[in-house]
Amino acid sequence: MPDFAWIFKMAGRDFRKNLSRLLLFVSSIVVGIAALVAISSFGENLVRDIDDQAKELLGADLVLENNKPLGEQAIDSLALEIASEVNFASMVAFPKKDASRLTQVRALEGNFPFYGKLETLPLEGEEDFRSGGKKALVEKALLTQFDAQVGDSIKVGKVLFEIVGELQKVPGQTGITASVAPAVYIPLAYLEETGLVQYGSRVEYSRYLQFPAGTQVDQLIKPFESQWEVDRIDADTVEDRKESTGRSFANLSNFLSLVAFIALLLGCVGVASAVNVFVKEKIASVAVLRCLGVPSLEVLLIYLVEIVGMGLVGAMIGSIMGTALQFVLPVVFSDFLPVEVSVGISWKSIGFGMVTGLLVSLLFALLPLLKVRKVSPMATLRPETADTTLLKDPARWAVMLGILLFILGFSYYLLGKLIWAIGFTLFVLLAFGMLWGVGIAIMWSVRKFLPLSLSYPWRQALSNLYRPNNQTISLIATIGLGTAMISTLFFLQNQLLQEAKFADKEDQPNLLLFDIQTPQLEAVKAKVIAQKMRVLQELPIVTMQLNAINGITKKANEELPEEENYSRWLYNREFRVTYRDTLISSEQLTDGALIPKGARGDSIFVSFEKGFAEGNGFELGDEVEFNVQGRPITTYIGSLRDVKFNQVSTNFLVIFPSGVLEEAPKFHVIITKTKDDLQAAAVQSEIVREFPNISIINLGTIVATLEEILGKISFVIQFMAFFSIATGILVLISSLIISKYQRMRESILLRTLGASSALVRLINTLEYFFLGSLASLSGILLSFFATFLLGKFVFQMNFSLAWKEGLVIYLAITVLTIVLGWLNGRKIINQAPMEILRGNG
Amino acid sequence: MSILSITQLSKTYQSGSRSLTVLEGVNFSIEAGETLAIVGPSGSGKTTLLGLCAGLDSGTSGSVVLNGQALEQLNEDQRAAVRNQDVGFIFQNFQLLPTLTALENVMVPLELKKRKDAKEKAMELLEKVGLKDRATHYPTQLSGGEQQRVSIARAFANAPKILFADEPTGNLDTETGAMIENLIFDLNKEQGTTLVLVTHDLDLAARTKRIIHIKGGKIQEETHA
Repeated sequence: MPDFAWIFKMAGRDFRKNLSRLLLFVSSIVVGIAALVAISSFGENLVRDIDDQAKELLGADLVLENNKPLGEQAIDSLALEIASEVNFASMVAFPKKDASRLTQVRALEGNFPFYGKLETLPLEGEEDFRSGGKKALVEKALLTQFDAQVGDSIKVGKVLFEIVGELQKVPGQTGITASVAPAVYIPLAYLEETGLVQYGSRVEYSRYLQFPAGTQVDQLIKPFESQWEVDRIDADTVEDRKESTGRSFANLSNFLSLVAFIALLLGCVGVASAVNVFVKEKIASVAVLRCLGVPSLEVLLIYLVEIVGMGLVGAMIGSIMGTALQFVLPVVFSDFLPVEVSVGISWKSIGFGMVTGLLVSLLFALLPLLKVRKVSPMATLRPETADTTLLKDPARWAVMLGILLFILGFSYYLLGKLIWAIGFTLFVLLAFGMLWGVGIAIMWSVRKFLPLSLSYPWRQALSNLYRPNNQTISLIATIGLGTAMISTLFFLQNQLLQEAKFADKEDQPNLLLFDIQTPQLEAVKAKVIAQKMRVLQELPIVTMQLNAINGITKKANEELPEEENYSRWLYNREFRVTYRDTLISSEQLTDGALIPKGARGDSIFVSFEKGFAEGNGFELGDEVEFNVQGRPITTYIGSLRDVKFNQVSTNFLVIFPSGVLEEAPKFHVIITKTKDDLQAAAVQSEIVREFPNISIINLGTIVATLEEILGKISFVIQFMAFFSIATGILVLISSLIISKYQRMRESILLRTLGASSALVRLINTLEYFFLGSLASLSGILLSFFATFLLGKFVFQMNFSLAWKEGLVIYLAITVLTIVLGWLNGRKIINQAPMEILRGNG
Repeated sequence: MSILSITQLSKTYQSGSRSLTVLEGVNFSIEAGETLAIVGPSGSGKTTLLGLCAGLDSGTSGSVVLNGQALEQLNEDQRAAVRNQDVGFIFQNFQLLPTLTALENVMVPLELKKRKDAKEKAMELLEKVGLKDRATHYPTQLSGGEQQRVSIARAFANAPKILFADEPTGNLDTETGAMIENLIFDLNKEQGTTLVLVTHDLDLAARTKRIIHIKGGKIQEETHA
């Protein structure tokens, strides 16, 4: 039985002389632990705040929603108070600027929100709005975009409203929502006058209900649910909203924790590498202890206790930092948060950070530490017999398995699904494996192919990459992976924007007009042509709902087991379909054929979008009954199409053949092309002025919105990826400090042999240049690969080599490495060569 | 009675496909309390022989019986226990633990034996070697001679039955070396320990009762004082 008292005593004795070195080791994990604890604390606080503020999230006790007017509901009589809202997308115009834009119009009646408030500037704006009259509250983002202010006018449909308040916050909304669809509140009383709600408008009718305090709303609504099901009314309670919002943010928190975990793993690589160097330096002492009679297990435990003790210290420091860091997170995530987030100490998160830090220190330090078991006491007499190769050591494989299981277990804890955990673990192994492989390949190549014809400083600098106790490979892995993460994000963001901007080519449409009523169609076309623009596409759109799939109605579907039923959403959603017998440029037939009406008897064959069909269990030949404004129409799926949704075009999930829907109520869409923003603004102003119900989207707006959203998302992810870069930098600094004395000896030796300080400086600079270059290039290559895969399989866009951006990242990382190397090594060059004779080098 | 008995001891090292025989068919024994020097030129195998005698390594063939225990039948941890109980070492390059003070270095063998008076005993030994005032100093703060004196104190700490010394004065100047030699022999006489010394210094070897001359891994001759 090991003498633990003595082991701890010896660990303490050794530790006091190794304190600064061990602090360096654990600095590598501090950042990762800080990130984990910060995210975990933040996530916990957020979920708790969502819980506490759930009523404010919904603004009511119950919300009923439908895309048709709700009419009187039996539950209304039980409510203390009721408010109504009609919500739809529409153009609004700012007469002062003669500018317009697509927004979310919310026509409100009643005291909604019952919990929380519409925060406005000035504060009395909300009260003013509710006092009656043609007054509007406009979201801050919209006012900023059009340089408008409180007191200006805003035209919504045919009605001019006075802006009485700048909306700061709407219950349950986030900053991102404001970017995509900024809101304008108007009184419901004037909705009809605006003339905006017409056939085909995508309108959502909401009713907000408040019940007496203490009402168990989930129980209260049970008797009404079946009727709501039939009427396709969505009912949302506070519990529902709490659950869905909480789940979304729990998922976000878990995702971000994974990002933090990657930073931690990078740190662990640094720890393992540094402990490897530590162990090599301890071989002599280990041999002496073995000689004196210390069993091999106790020798191992002495150093393990030391390192794990420092791991605990690192975890503590990281946890404290993380607890402090969480104060910054609400600012970072402000655009995504639907509630006010409180910050406070989360002991659970701190405990989580401590346990994680302890475990990773133990596992990753153990891997190199196992070598001490193999040190022969004979090494005291013959140092060359200190053979510490462990290739066939089963304990080493056991530890590696332990590490793998830890990664799997940790990711499963966060993700909740084994398949995702396995996927994440494989991703980590692949990424690290690739970088490790690149590092080994580079070192091997340098050793094998180093040309003698190269000048001495270059040869020496390259040789230094594989000097004894080098950490070249771990640096490539850590800095490389951090670079890869940030680069991938950067390249992907650019590529997405390029895809959007690509659509703005000569032959590609960039302006879409929709919600055009049939009587307006010819006039709108005339206006477009008058502006010297071509009508590139003109499509009718008919709205309908789904009655049955292969004879299975909505009610029958409810009774089927979950693995057999169709999604409820299919029966509740409103389909917008068009009719034609040909394909357009953004479509490609993958299965079946477009079958015109009459080609096969009386049967009507429709075409489904392939992804939609496959994702919802539809197959060729399935019978689908649609409800077209009260009239059932039976159809069969005759073909599947692959649709490129990233083009500015009218793309449809379902297409009917011609000759079926011509008599149905419809609205129209026109697609055209403007040559510049001026022309776009001009045609937009004119059409909105005369036909305020028509909505217009131009590619410029999409690109600008996409840029804004991507910017917000990428800021968050870059913030998280920063932890990986920071860890990589700490590992680099740690490595430079650890190798400082070795470099000093080399420097002194070179200078004793006659090398000038300038030459020694050049060699060191070149070495840092190579280190930084190898690390950043490996990361950039990995990110190109990742961007290619994501583009091909997730975003379905072509890969383009962002070589300019790659060059910028390469230069930044390389220069940073050189600067850090200089800062660390400035004293080394100045050491007097005399030190080597004194043996103090 | 023999405290150390070597029978047909051989040691061969493998280096890739090549093998190097460092010791071949060595036979000798030492009685308790005897002093023995192993001398030979550089590369003769004397240090390897010392290591095998002390159980730091195992021979390729043959047997080493130390204090009645056949070392080749023991695993590494069992040999470590034997070393802790019965063996003391003095090394050419002192081999002090750099992160321990002089006192702590001497305490280690005593602590391994779970001696409650480890500190007091260690201090006594340091006083004997004249380093009581340097007890709290680290090896880097001591001169070569002082480090070797600490190493000697450590070697005698567990009252070993047999002391092995590998070129104990090899890294020291003449004057210091002489002082160390005297210290080793005085303490050895005081404690009645068996001493096995490896050296290329014939004057030092002459202070022992027996000298084994080794060359090319084989014992060439044995002389007596």
